[in-house]
Amino acid sequence: MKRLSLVLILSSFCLLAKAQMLSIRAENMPMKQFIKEIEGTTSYKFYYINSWVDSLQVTVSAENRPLQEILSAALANTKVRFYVDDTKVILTDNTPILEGIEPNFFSSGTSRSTSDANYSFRREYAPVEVEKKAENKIIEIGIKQSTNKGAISLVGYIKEKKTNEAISGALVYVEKIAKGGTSNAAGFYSLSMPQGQYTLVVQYSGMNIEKRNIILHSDGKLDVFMEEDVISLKEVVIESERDANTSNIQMGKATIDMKSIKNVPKILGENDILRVALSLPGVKSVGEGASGINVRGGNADQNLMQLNEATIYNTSHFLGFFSVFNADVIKTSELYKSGIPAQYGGRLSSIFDVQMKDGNQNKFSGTGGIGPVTARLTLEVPITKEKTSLIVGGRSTYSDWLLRQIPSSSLKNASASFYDVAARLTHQFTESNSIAATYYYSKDNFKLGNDSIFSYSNQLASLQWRYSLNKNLHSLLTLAHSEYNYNIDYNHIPQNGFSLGFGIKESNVKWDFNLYKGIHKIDFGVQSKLYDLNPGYINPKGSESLVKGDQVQPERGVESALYIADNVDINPKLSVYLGLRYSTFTALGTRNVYSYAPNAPKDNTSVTDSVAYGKNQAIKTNQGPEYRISARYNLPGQSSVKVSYNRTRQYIHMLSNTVSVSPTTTWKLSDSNVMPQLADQISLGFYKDLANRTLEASFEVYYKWLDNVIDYKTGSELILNKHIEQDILQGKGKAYGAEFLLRKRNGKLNGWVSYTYSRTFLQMDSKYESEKINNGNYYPANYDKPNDLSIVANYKFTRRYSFSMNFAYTTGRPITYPVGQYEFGGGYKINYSDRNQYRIPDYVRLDIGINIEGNHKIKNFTHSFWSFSIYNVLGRKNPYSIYFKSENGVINGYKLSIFGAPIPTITYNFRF
Amino acid sequence: MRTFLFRLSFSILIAMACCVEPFDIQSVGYEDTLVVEGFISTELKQHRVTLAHTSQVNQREFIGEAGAEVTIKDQNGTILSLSEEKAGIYLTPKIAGVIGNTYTLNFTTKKGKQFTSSEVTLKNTPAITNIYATFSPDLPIGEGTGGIQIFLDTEDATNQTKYYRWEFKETYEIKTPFPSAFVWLGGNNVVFRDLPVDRCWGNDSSKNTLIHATEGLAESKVKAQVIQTIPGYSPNMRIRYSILVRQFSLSREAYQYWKDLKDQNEGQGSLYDRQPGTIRGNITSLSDDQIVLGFFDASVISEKRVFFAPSYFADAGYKAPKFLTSCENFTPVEVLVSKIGDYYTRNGQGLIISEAVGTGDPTLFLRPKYCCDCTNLGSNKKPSFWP
Repeated sequence: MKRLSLVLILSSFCLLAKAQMLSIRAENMPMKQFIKEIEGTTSYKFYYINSWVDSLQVTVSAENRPLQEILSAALANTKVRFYVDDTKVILTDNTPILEGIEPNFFSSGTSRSTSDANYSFRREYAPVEVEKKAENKIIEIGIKQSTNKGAISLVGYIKEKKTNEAISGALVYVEKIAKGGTSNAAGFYSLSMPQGQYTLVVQYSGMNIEKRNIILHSDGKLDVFMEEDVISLKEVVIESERDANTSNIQMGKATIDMKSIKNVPKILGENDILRVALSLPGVKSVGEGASGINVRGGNADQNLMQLNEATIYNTSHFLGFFSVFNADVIKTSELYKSGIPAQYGGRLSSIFDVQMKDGNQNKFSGTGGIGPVTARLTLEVPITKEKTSLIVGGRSTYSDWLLRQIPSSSLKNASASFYDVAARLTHQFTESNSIAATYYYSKDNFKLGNDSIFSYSNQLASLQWRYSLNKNLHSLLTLAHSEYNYNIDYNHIPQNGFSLGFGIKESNVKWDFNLYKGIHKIDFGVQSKLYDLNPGYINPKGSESLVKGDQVQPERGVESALYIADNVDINPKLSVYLGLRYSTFTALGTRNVYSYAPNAPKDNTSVTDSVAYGKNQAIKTNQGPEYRISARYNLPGQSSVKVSYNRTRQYIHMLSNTVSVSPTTTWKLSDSNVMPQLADQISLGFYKDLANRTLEASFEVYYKWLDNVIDYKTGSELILNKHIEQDILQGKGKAYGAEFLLRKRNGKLNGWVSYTYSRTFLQMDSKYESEKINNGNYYPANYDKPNDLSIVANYKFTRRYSFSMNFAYTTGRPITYPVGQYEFGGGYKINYSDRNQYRIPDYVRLDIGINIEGNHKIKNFTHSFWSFSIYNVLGRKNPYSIYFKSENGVINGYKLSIFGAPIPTITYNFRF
Repeated sequence: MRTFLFRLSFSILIAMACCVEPFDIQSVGYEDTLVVEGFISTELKQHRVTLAHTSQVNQREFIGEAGAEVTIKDQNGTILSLSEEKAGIYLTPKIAGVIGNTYTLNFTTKKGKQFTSSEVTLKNTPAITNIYATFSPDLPIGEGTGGIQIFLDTEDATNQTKYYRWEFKETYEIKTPFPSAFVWLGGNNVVFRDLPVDRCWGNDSSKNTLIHATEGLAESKVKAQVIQTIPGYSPNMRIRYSILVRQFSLSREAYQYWKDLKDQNEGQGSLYDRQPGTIRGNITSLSDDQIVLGFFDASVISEKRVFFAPSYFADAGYKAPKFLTSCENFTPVEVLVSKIGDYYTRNGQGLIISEAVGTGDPTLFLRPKYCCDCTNLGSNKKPSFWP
């Protein structure tokens, strides 16, 4: 009855309507601006709901016409209806306001409710419903008069409804024409398609799926706000882009979704993105607790690990047992193994791009937790609503609990601790103009006895300005700086007391542009990095020390790159990505650099000259193009095939001749004696979604050629080595493999199975015996582990209880094994085989975990959950290494294992 | 530096519930490789060159390379021919090397393959300044009993020696708690021993590589270089102990060789082990690119001998351990001389006669051999240098 009376009241107002004359000229003018202009020049006031008009553009030209006539013309081919009541202009969404009762209103009885087209204002009385039912609306985009028969572009932003935070990596998909794209870091997406009616689907893991029915007339804009799906929080999903498996052109990419890694069983209470990365195909590590990952046969330094574009040189806390990334402050982490986009470069094997969360713009909130080793707390603070927000998160070890468990007297005074803090301040001037500042600091300290301290720290800062020149051209300017240092103070024997250290600084300027033009999405930009390296210093420590202070010459270099890439949707089936990056690196003075005789091995005897370069004088420039090409072809039956080729160059090299990356690793810049590393990779993949897109399968094969990869002469000393080129060997490498991944994202049982078969070989050949390894033949790299199987599964018993497990199997890594013994210098010594000719036993591990959530009432002040996990529940003593020692003249063999027993952990987590 | 890394990873490992277990070395592949060890000093003697083959990892044996023609040439072209003492052991005529002379080792195996060493210069070696020892009750080595560390100081006033190597021979006195004065000769025939077996001298020599470099130091001074560590429970320091340290100076090349050898053979087991591999010395094959192990070197050898007794460490809290307590706790078996033949026939000769009491048919006290006779632990011939 309410409806009826309203209609009656409205009808009576109409009688008082008075016409005002006005002039207006609009061409493709956003409706809101159009309204503003009318309101500014007349006494008319418009009433409407934003979402009805925000995608609308109008074209009209009128001189001294009544408003009704102008509106009729402007809105002619749209779904928006209007009703003028004196000076009030009421707009409706495809719902004409009727003057008087519809003739057959009473006769049709109950059947009327099937259509809501005829009753005005119905929605205004139920505003909540309006938002909820956004999916049921038909949204018209663009100008209906448009007769554009070609590709029309639809753009917009995907945002989190509660926090207003941009969602990057959300999939925007049009099923009908099998067309999709993902939102960029600003949440911006762009699709191109012909005129027509579509259903736009927006998906992002942990969020409710949003659907929009649209009629696309001409270029237009549509923003979609997504809401967190409270229930799906518990899912273990690591790749956010659901349909991206088949539809995205990108291959060899894995997105580790922070909201959902919490159910992978943890180790010592920490969610660790690097550990999750290791369960993905193609990602390996040398061993448990080894810092650094090996991606598709690449050495640990061939991954560019970056947090908001600032490079992280040491990604591990506690020498590799924890990662430096605090899962609570991280929004996404994306790993590119192949088809690396042209905007990234500088490392051969992969890009590990970690983006920090933006703070909640609307509400003060926080998360935290406490485990056996660490405690953490993250706060999100809105500063000005929907404009400025801050997120600050920190972690710290709160006790030496671990080391205190040790009865050994030699470790009585030992302590190990770490902490990290991360903060990010974002400010949005307008939707298309925002800045963000990010800061990160981490520090590790180890004390051994009272005499030795080892510490290392990462410090990063970045400033990013995101600006859209117009709806088709977006830019991101990044200024980033990062530093990594370590220092050892050793005073065990006062005469030999020393303080030794290393440091690297990197400053980075990058300007990225995205241009959306019809079927083209063009990325281009420029980047420049300045490196300042302090390769090593030693100073006497203590008054009794006889150590002579020393310093390896500092190194400086500048790496610059230009890139351009075009992502073309040639037709709904075929998409092509054509990218080119041109990079250049110049080593700069001040430095003295040795020249070596061309026809002799590099050693002290073949030095021909020592050239002194002045400050910023170019020592040597290396440069070259890097091709980045990919293509995707959609096949029938929700499947596709993708292919990519990419070349990468690397000008900065980590020096580590230990099997696992040692904490005293140093870095070296390319110069006239150390060549840049180069890799070419081809990769082919087949992707299929099964069982109504609930199962995703992918199969990828790759082959990689490596050039100038680094290995070391046996026994080389890298620390404080002033002529490292005499100990470095550069040679060829080849890596190939097949990767299989099957993933189920939803349902009571979810998780993934990944299997990789891969091989990696290196070859150090030379004319000279001293520069050969294994007589110049190919040999397996330290991280060559052919078979690698991972199973991650999560089973939800109820909404509150879930069980998770993680199973890992890999072939044992190669080792160099004794092939004989001999007496020398009074004891028996070992004669070793050629490098890496044998293997340690295989690695098998099973972890389990149980999560118990508090209740799910959304209105609770805090949500909490408990995690119980047991790492290595089988207690298998997986060998980390097999080694041999000559002890009292006798050769003994040992097997060393880390985490050789089940490690249980309880963690309490909360958020508010 | 490596020590530091080792300690660091050790503590981390323990913290991480890690464990080290013995691993049975299986001979997965045997590569027969020639090993050369040769040294010339300024001592007037027959200097030795050993040519041998590596043996299987789990089967130690000396496989000498017999029948090779071995020569050493000095910078003047003088060639010394070595004679084969036994398979694989070759000796020079009695000569003394000369400081500053260079020597090159050449040999041709029976199969006709030729090998040569690089030219080595006989280097001078400074004298050992001092050898001393301290007892630390909390040294982690002694399983709670602490340990004695023997240190060495040396310095080269001319600053020429930058690389040092040491070897040692240690000698320790052994006294049995229940010395055996009698010996059974079969039947009921028991007589006094000719030579006492209650006091012996045990020997041991350095097995590990002891080296040090002063290249990173302001002066060529070695201070408190640990030469040997004796756990608190070790019986070697019970009565009197002597150590003879031999000091060698090394070239940069030789130092690198010994350092690699040490790293690979003694330094493994941390989280950050370096890749092991073949360590090439200064011997190369002239016939093919066959790998040869070992090193040929020359230098002066400086020696120093010192003695220590338990009283030396008394102030630091050192208490010499008792001889095996099982000897004191053992109740001797008493047998009459007239029954000794029967006894040994029935029970075997596990126990020996420590003392005899009474006259006529005296009672013999039998105890385990190691409590009464030290000759199985050392020699009962007093070394000439022993005071």
